[in-house]
Amino acid sequence: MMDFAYGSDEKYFRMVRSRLFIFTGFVLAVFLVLLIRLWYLQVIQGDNLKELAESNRLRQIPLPDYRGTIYDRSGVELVSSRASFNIVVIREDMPDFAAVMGKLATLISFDKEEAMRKIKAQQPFQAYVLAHDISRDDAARLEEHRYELPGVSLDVRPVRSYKYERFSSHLLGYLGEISKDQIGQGFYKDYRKGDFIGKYGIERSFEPLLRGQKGVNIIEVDATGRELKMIKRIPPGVGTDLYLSIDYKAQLAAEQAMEGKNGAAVAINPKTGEILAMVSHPDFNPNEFASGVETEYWRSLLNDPYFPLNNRAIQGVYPPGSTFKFVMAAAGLKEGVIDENTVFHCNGSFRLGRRVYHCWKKSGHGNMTLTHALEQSCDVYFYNVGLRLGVDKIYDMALKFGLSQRTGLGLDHEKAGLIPSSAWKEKYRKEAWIAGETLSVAIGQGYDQVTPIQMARAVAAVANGGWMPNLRLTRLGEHEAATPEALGGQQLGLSQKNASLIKEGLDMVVNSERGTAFWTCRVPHIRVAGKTGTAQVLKMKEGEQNIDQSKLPEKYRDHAWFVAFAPVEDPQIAVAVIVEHGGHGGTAAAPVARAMIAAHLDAMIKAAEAQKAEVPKAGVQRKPVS
Amino acid sequence: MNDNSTLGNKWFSLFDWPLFLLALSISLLGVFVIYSANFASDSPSFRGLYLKQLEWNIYGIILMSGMAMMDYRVWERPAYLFYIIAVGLLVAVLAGGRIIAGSQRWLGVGSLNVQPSEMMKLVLIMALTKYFNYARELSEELGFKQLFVPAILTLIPALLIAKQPDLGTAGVLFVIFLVMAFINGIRKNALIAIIIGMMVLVPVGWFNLKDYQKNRVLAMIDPSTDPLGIGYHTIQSKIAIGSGGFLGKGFFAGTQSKLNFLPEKHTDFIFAVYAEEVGFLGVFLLLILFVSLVLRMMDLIINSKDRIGSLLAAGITGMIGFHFLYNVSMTIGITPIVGIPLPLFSYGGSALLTNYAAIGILMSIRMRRFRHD
Repeated sequence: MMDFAYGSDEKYFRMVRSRLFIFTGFVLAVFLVLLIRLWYLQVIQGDNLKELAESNRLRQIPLPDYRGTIYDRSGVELVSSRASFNIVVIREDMPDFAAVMGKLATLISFDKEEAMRKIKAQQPFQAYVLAHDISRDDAARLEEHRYELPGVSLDVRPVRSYKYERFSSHLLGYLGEISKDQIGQGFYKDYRKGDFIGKYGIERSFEPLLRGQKGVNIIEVDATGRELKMIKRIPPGVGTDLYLSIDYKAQLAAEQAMEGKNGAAVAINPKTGEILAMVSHPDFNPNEFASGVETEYWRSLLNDPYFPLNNRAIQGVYPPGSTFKFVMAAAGLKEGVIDENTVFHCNGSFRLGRRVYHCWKKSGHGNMTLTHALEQSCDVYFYNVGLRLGVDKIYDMALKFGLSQRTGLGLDHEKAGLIPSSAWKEKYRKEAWIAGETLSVAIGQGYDQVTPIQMARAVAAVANGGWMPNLRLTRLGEHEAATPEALGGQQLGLSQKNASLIKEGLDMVVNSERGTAFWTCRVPHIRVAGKTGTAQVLKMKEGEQNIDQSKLPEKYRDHAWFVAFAPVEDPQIAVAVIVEHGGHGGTAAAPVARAMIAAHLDAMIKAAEAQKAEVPKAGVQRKPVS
Repeated sequence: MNDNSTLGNKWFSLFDWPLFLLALSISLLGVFVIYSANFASDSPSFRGLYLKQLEWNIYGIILMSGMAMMDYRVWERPAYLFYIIAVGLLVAVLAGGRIIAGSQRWLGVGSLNVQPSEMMKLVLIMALTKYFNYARELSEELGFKQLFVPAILTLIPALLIAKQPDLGTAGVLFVIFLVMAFINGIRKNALIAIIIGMMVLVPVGWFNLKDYQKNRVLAMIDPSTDPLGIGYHTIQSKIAIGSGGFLGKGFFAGTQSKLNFLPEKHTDFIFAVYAEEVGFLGVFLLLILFVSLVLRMMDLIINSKDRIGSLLAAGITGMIGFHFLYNVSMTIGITPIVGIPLPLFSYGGSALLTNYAAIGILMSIRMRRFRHD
């Protein structure tokens, strides 16, 4: 038994009282601080922190959208999104990992050891994509054995499919993964890393229209990232379908005619400005980019000396050569320096000061009027016109024809080209204009640089008798008025008479026996008008005569131009073709134009043939065209 | 003991019912929240934790009752012996203790893991009581001389515990020392000296901290600098508490705890689990319970019969009060994260038994405060 004496200590307790007071005050003060902090966190910051808790808990898995389909003007499907199947495996869901993988290896071919190593290296609940875009046969086989393959599933994703492979690849363009700089910028603000966007051509220009609404799976996850359950699913939407102005037949004809050549061919409807065909060769296969650029293919395209990724129709700049002569004719007529009766004599050369300028025809053309000068592409005639006009008047008219400026048809990387003026030379070359240079400009050489699309639109203006339409890539809707007022464009300010005069000259190029394209561009039943051109690659030295092009190495040969429209009576198609290093325009380029015209006006030709079959009975002869 | 027989018939009326009911409600609420934190767990052993805690509660209440029946003055005489045993156990822990989650804090006894550092707190209170009571006989106020021995008594186990490493519990020992010295009377110059000494010790201690410990302090200062690294615990805890809002997400509905975004959810961060599910209103209620508990314990510092009772009450109040205030302040991100659980509430048998034993001692003090023998 222990005994204690409870010692009472009054002095001690007197002192403790005051100290306890401080102690209690301290505890209550801390308590108050905690309470205020909790009020701040739970009541003032509550909503913010609630959101943070939700974003902790919920993972948004974006579902790819289905892009709209791209059709030609008559509804031929050119580009669509097809479903592709990826094989996805989740190790955690496999009761026997090795056995399931073994079974899988008997059904499809893949590197089993490598895949198993990689799957084991990641978290067991993480999905691993075993194979991308497997064939439909493989997908069907897996589906058949799905009950023997727990943890293996097929993930369906849309993949862009370019039905005709290399067909009009520059115009249609291709997709690619969004770049780091683009994410969050302007239009791309709701795009994320890994999204595929239109990178080139129509795919790029019409991205806002073609893209569909992205879907999303909202999934609850735990702190380790394991997916627990689906909270919500917003299915992806389909983008808008696009009807291009392209005519599949004309495009195909151009593709085939350009096969093996480098260059470009463009066709437009002069009445509406719709692009009917746009071909650039060499080309590429956009399907190769559909699921991410294959580096090897991409590198081969980048390193190709012929730059297959360039769209020569809008990016290629070439001297227009003699095709520029219809612009000269329009300028001369409008400024009144020539008329239909003006005659210049061509003896094969032209002396200006101490220099002699040659006509392509050494022996000379003799006395030339405007229409004959166009028909036979007489250089001396246009030297005279050029001198009478001066470079700035030429420049003014070229500008009216839309040269030296972008057509603005809505594709990226378009080039403006160049037609010089004295002011331009003053500004950029710091030199005064020399009259001799006007002669080069007058026959489309020297500083002159144009793109095929510019030339197609310019010749369309001639076909229309002086009105040049704005260009468009999409089909004109049925209810849209096809009038110049509604479509917009540019008036050249040519009189009816002058316009007919130029048309007549271009008509003779093809339809007169002396015309430079008489043998190469006539289409049965369709009256075609056109103009040949040769863009010099080698600058000829003074006094040098024309060289035999076929004896030159290819890269020094001239580029061949041809511009045309048809039918002359009621133009429905205007084309411009350039064949790089093709030599003479009539020989190399005109057949391409002819193929396009024939393909586009196919129905008209057939109708005419049917009519002709009846001709002997009816005894009616085809009316000559004035 | 004859003491008990004379007390026997009055036992029921003298029993400190308010203290008992406060402690019981806090610990039962704790059991409930431990269940809520883990009921969705994949692991059956985690799901069953609340049952283990309930079991510890029963042992705890029995222990408390035993302590309440014994005269608190019995602890004075063997206090130094207990102290030597407890320090010996701490040395044993460092020599061959079980390592759990990177800390060597536990001694294995069969399948049980005992945490000697928990009982060290109570033993230190007894030893300091004994010393301060003795020192009081010599001098009215405590000067440097009288503080030297208790400071050493505190430093030895504190260093051993800090070595485990368990900075939190080491800190608790110092707080016990400070509170008891303060209550017992300390000269102004001695108080200033202690404060200056602390200011010197803190930077010295800083260089002896392990990297993760330094990082925790840094993380407290700005948790957002590295949200997935050192500040992760603080950020997730604040998100859990704040997202509870005013009324809470409801019991069993806390996503931060169920989906394991909260670390140590049934031990050090159980307050965050609770706050997420019951909101400010529920938190306010719990804090009121705790403050009432602390004030009830604190009352004995002045209302005990003698110095021994008063000093014991001071030490125990300091221990439990500090645990409570520090744990809450650390989960709401205003102090660095150390392993200091919420008393009676967090999961853990050793801590629960220690706290119940301490409360039992307080009951004994209260029951005997009017006796004159």
